Amino acid sequence: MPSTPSLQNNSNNGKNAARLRNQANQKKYSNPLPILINSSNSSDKNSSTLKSSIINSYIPSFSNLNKKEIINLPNCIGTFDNITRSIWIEDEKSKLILFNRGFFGKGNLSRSEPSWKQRKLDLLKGGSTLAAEQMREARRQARKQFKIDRAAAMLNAAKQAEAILTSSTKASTSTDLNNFSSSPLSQDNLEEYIGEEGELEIDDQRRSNSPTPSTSTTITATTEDTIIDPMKLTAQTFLIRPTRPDSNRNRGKKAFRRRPPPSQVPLPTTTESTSLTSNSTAISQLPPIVPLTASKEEEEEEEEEEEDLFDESLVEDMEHLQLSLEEALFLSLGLGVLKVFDPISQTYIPNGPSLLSLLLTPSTSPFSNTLSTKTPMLPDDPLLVSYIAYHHFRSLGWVVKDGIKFCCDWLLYRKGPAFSHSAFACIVIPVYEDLEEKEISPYGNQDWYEEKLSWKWINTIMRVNALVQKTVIAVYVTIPSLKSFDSSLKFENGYLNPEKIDFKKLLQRYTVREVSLTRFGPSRRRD
Amino acid sequence: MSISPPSFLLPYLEKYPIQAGALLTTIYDLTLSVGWIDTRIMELGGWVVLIGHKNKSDPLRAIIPIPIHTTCLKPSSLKSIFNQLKITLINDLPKPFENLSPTINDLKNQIIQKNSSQSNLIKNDDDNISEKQNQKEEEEDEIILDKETIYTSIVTPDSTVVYYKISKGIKKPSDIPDE
Repeated sequence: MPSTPSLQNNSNNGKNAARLRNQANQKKYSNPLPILINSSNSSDKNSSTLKSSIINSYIPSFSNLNKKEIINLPNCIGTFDNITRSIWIEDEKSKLILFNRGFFGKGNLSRSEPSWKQRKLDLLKGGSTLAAEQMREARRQARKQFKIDRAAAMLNAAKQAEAILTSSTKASTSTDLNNFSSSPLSQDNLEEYIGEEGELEIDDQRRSNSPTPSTSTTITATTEDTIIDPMKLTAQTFLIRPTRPDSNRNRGKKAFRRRPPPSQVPLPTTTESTSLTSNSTAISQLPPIVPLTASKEEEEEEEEEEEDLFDESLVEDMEHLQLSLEEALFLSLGLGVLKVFDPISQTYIPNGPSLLSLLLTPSTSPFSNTLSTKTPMLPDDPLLVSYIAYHHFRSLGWVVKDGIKFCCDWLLYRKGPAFSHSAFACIVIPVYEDLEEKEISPYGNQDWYEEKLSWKWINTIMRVNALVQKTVIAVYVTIPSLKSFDSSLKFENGYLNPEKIDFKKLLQRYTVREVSLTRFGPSRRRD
Repeated sequence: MSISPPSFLLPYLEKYPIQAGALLTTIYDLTLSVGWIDTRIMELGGWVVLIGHKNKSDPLRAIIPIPIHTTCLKPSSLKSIFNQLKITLINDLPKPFENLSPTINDLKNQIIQKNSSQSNLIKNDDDNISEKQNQKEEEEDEIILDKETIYTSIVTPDSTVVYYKISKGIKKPSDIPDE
């Protein structure tokens, strides 16, 4: 008897839990950026000024009359790490601000939100591990069973087709024996089929909630009702595809809403974690089977007792929030909420050209890189090109995250990873304004520029993303030529001097064009 | 956690600058998040690799940490790595490095020592676990080194780590992925 809650048994509870979780997330992640804009003259009286702030939001001129608009700029601190070329946020307050307001950064030991300490504490407390592992084992078994069923179904269908074909040819000609003997393969299939079917039946009895209908019964139904034309028989005629245990049965109507992992315990496996994952909240502890309820309640009580005794400081938090260089650039030079500390010089780097030159792609090995404002800058620096795309989409309101899991550069989320899957996968394609410079430049002929212009690459990406129902967007970033910059802005060797160039003006010289790509098959007649 | 890497890593980080960032991130991810044990660093075929396993019953496997933007791992490098792996014996492997953070069992023991009078429940569970572990260790003393497959871990600057399994030649993927 399965002891894990299933969606069917628990549908109402599951929906309630999902709605509550969504509401909690809406509250938690309500600010899209670390900057808060308060149109009230004191931040304490938030509730009383609710009405006036609603009026203010509709008629902004009112707000300027009496009250000042306060832009709340938090001060977040991060440390630059040269080895991983990223910014580490270790201050708890900064971690919360940066992740909750805009989903910046990623916990370095977690899948997104830094939750390592909580997961470890939950493991220590004992109860949750078993549930998570049991669920994972159950899903694994279901997937394995599905694969066995699928293989059996295909064999079965092929066998049926063969049988019909041979019986029809038997009727028309008298050379049926020849047919049988000329297909030794079908004999082998027959033996295999019998073996598989034997297994299937046993398995059917063993499993209480099988994801597939028993293939043999449904196939006979087909042969009785419909007229099979032997000429048009294929191996797939009788094939009834078993459904995957984890599949979305709504076929895109209610596109897969990813249940965000409860802030305590995310599942370590696939992203399709539905309400099966929540094992730390009280709601989820409603099992469908009554006899288990009593024992689980006891467990809960025991856990509560343990919690009282539990010293959370036993687990030292080894995790930090890690920002990629593009995110750090956006937060520091773009928004001005981040201050970066350089461990080598032991100083805070002012938000300006010195920070920019620290983050630019180094030309030598990381260990010999010292803080120097004279680091030359090239307009086709991969960091700058990738940053242009990041800045562009962030400014439009998208939550932009790294896309390595889907073979692309950036993933775009409408609200954030906690709310739904990303709809778009962006690949950044650099386009040189001046092709001669491409040849000279140290980055011009590197693979990460060259291969992006090849159809082989784009086809691979399209295939990967088509499977996960994401639209691929090719983002063409035009790189300005070095020649177009005034010589006063450059060093003697022709490279740009970051000290003399205004960052905003530099960004304005790049252009971004987006092209969305979808696969088209002329024989399928789909839009 | 301070930002400076553990001292035993420093020589490797200097010697292999391309893999440095990836090595650091992968070590943290493997030992602290995925939960690998008996992890050790080794040099194979001109690259630095990590060898370890998740459970004592799994064979020891090699992981090559790689940053995302590199094409240095060419087929010839892979060949030399595989060749060197073939001739490596288990006894040649270096000793595992110390844990970066106390394991679950260590912490449980700590709790027991702290709350010896009140924690009857925890003690019982822990006794069971330690008994099971002792049995396991007695049964499976032989550790195997998997020489047919290596993993690569690809690391991005925002600390996402993606693992890929490389086998020699064409091999059908198994139904149940290994941890």
